[in-house]
Amino acid sequence: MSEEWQENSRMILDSLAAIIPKDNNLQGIRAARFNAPGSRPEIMETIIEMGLLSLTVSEENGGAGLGMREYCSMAKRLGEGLIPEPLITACLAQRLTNGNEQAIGAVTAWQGLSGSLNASIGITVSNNVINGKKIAVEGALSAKQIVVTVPDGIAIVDSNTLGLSISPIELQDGTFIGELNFENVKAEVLPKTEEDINHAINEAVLAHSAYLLGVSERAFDITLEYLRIREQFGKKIGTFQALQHRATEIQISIQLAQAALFSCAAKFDNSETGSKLYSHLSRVKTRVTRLSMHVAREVIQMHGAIGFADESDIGLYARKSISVGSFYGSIECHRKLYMKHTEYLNENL
Amino acid sequence: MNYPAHKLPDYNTISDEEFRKIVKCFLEEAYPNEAPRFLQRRARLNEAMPWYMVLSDKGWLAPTWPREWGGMELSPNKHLIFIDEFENFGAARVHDIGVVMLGPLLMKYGTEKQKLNYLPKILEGTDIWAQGYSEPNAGSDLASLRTEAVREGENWIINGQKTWTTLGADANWIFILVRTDKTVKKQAGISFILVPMSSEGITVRPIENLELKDELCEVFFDNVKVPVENLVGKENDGWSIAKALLGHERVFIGAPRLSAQALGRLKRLAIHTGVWEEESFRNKYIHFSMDLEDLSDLFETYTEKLRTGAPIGADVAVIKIFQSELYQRISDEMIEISAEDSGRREPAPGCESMHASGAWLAARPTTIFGGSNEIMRNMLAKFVLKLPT
Repeated sequence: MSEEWQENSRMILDSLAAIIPKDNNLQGIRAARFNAPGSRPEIMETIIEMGLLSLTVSEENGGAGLGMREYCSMAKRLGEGLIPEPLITACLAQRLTNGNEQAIGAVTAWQGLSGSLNASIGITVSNNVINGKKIAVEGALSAKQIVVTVPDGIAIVDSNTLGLSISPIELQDGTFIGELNFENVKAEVLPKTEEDINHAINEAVLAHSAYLLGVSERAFDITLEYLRIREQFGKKIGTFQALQHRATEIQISIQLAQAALFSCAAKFDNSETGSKLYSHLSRVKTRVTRLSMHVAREVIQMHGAIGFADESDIGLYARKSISVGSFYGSIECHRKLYMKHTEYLNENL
Repeated sequence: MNYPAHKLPDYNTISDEEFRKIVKCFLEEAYPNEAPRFLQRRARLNEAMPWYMVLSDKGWLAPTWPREWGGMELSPNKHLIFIDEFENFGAARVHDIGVVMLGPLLMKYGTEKQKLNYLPKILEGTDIWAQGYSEPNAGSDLASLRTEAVREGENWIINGQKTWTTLGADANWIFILVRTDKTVKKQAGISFILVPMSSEGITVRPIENLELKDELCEVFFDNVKVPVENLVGKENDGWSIAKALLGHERVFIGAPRLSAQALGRLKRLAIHTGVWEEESFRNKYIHFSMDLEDLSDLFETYTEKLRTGAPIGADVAVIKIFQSELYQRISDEMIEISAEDSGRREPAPGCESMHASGAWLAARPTTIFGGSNEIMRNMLAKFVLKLPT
């Protein structure tokens, strides 16, 4: 008997047929590459109409009130389809604003290699005037409003607000992120505890991990299919034990990632908090990021020369992994966070 | 039959912390003085039986068996705590093949009579079981086994040889796979039979292993006679039982237990040698720790399957491979940080619970038994990844 979250997930996955072709063809994804803003306005419209952005927003705030397991199931499917729309960032914006605002772009709340997901990093606020810089902001080029995480709260600013400049940066997967400079930008700070902000960000870390898992799983499936049909030396190359055994390495990593991820999602859904949850979360992100790079390497190699041709879809997956694998914290960042939150590692220091 | 566990509380209803305390207290109070702790090898019968009987009296011998058969019926989570506290205490592993392997199998395939006859004797400590699968020419290719049983009236007459039988010299019963039909496909002519080790015609010869211990044995069968009722399941249907049992064995090998124990030893050794303070070591340790916890998450999906009786498929190879190789990677690291002390045959003074070379040698068979990891990968490739052959 399946649980309620599995039923919900199944319905959500069915509805995603509206934005991900059933046959998994990637024509639409290819066409959107390297054209700023990198996402497709009509798909974003559909996503909003379907209510996907407020999946985890509570019902009293107008959302669907679903759990992290449902959200992760959706995010994983988005990864399989290589959906370039900044949906997880937009969901984060909704969570930070309790779904009350029309904000569909969020300022990055995580940054770089510093070993912390410090939401207010790079920004100072005094008298409702914002100064500073945010990097690697997904959806910055398409958002009408941007949620900025600042010390002690959030601010919502129009993207064309005076003093805010957005520099586009093109990524290898064909999407764009923005570097945001705030020069005396006037905005009201809505107070929010660090705990609340971090919790919303942590949900996004997990959802992004699910997205990466989806990218990896689909790339692996495509490669398995190739191993089943491609012939050399008069045999299907999938009969070669060297390739079979390397493929099983990927399968092992995928199974570990899947189990760790959904058991972490269950912890969220059981309202667990604190070190045990954070340690688990950073472990998941580390596993998935490692997996996505492992898969990116192997799927190109196993395709041989055609894997190096842009016409082959497998490259789209590898480009995605190297482009967004470190979003919401690199391996290094989460290794440090894991260490910080895992009690027994800090003994006898 | 009076099962002590019936009188026990349902431990699943109490909190994890409370349960941990109960287990810990019990170990401290009840563990026999004469029983060895933190043993690097399998305890032998005389070392393990006092502890076996204490567990038997308490009703704690079969943590995962259903309560109706005298088990504790622990949830996966409670079972992990149970194992964890046993590890922390360094309790000797008892002769558990009856509890871990045969018990669940009889519950599924045995007749009522077989269940009533054999299960209580496992819990009482009357019967100590060994497993007879491998043969000199049937290792990875187990289905090519040649030990045969021929029906003669109301008996089976068994001839052949089993090998790598763990603790075979300590057991008074053995379950074996035998060929009962040579005319069909090799998997289709195998049966599963229970044999008393005291039967006339059985010879046991210990094999000294890499650890220079003799817990493994060869078992020879020379016209050994057992009653037909000792057959489990249907005649010539032994391969499906064997596969189910191998599934259980792989779940068992895939359990985080061995790696968890090794990681604890690595930490103690690292603190002892001082590398615990070094960042480069700590980074390696963190990845081991993450690997172990990811494994635990994945392992839970399998214990859930065992609990609900869902079939164990070829995918169980994933945890078998990952656990055994993690165990070996950790043992490699113990050798590395032991530096010039790594070769000591006996642990250095004060290092009894962190013996590097002992751990390294002990980690070798896990990638070989229960189906070598190479065979496991072949199975994954064929049955799970559906790659061509």
